[in-house]
Amino acid sequence: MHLLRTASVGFLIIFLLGCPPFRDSPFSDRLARSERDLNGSNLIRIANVESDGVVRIALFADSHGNYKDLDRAIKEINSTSGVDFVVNLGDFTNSGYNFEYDQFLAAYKNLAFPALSVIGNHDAIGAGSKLFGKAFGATNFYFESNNWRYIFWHSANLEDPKNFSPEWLEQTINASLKNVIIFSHVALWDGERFGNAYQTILDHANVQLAVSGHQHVFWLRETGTRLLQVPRTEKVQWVLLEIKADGFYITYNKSGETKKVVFK
Amino acid sequence: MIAAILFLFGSFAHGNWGVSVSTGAFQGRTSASAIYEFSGAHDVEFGLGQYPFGDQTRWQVNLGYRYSPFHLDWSPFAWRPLAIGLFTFYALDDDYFLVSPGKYPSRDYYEETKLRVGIELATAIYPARRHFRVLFKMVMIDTGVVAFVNNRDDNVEYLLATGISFQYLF
Repeated sequence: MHLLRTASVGFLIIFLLGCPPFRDSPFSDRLARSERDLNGSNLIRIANVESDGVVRIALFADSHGNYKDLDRAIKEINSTSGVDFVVNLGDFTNSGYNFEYDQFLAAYKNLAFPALSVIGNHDAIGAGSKLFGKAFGATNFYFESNNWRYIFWHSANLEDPKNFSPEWLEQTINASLKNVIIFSHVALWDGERFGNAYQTILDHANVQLAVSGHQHVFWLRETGTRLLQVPRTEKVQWVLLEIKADGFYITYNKSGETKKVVFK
Repeated sequence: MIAAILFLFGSFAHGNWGVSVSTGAFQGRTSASAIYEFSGAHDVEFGLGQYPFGDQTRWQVNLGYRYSPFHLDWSPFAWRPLAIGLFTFYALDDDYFLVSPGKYPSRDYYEETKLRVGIELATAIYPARRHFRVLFKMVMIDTGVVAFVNNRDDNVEYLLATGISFQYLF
């Protein structure tokens, strides 16, 4: 009985002072947070990323419900000097629910650098693709620096086929006069989803690097078109990609420890 | 099954029927329910809620049980400082599923998304000798509970949802 009375008082304090957000339904496409079109607004914030001769990109993926580790990874990214932009490689929810989007957005807003997001397959189920559209805006987009075209591609072919467009990706690569880096949640070489259908895209002369998440483990291919698979955020894993004149410098971070790899 | 549960409670307990109109707390933008209160401290609730999805209005079924152990009479008002409830929310919506649809590689490719279970904490105030009540509610659903446990000491405010109900007991 004493426990229940204590719980009553605790509940009232939380309810009256903390006041969690009003939420209509777990199934609706309504966000409690106010952020909208974050990809669009962050693209405007990105300056001349090659001004110092190095492009520094912080990468994280598959945070799912690991909000605590995500917060820690964001703190580490924020304390890294000279990051030009951050890429969230998707799967920041488990089931594409609105409250999962809001919880992620609460952490994402703490990033000190401009951040861009691609949609993950988990983020696209249920109301997920609608919620992504509201919070982040476009699912297929690109921007350029002096020597590079950075392409962000929607790879959730099964969950949101309406917005899945390998044709857009191919056209955007073909139209580029610069070297290309592709960012997507599911890798173009993912056999389960794509077989070998997009090998010609990967082998395109413009494509220098393809970056993905989805498989949860850190992995690299150092021959041909370079492939970089970013691990999940759990255990505070994230990757710093530095593009220099002589190659890609990759720093893999896990629980405060780092491992460096260079692609020449 | 739902009718059977309500009938069971109705058969074994002598209580009061009522109606409830709610907003929020994962029950829908607006929802309407039938409630049956028995033994003064227990009630069951069954109803429909609606929620927005694009330019459509879609529906969910809500079924819940609530236990209110304390009744404080501060005439002319009364207060139930804490009610503990267990709710289920079922989407009548083809964009949600119990087993992964055939387009996915396997039936368990995703966890089910159509049915969620929620733990409710509520407080109710009402005129002591009237049949009308107002409930302020806070709900955390099962996936939120898992995330809450996995992220202790972190700010996970969006895993909780608040709402309000207006009840009338006949």
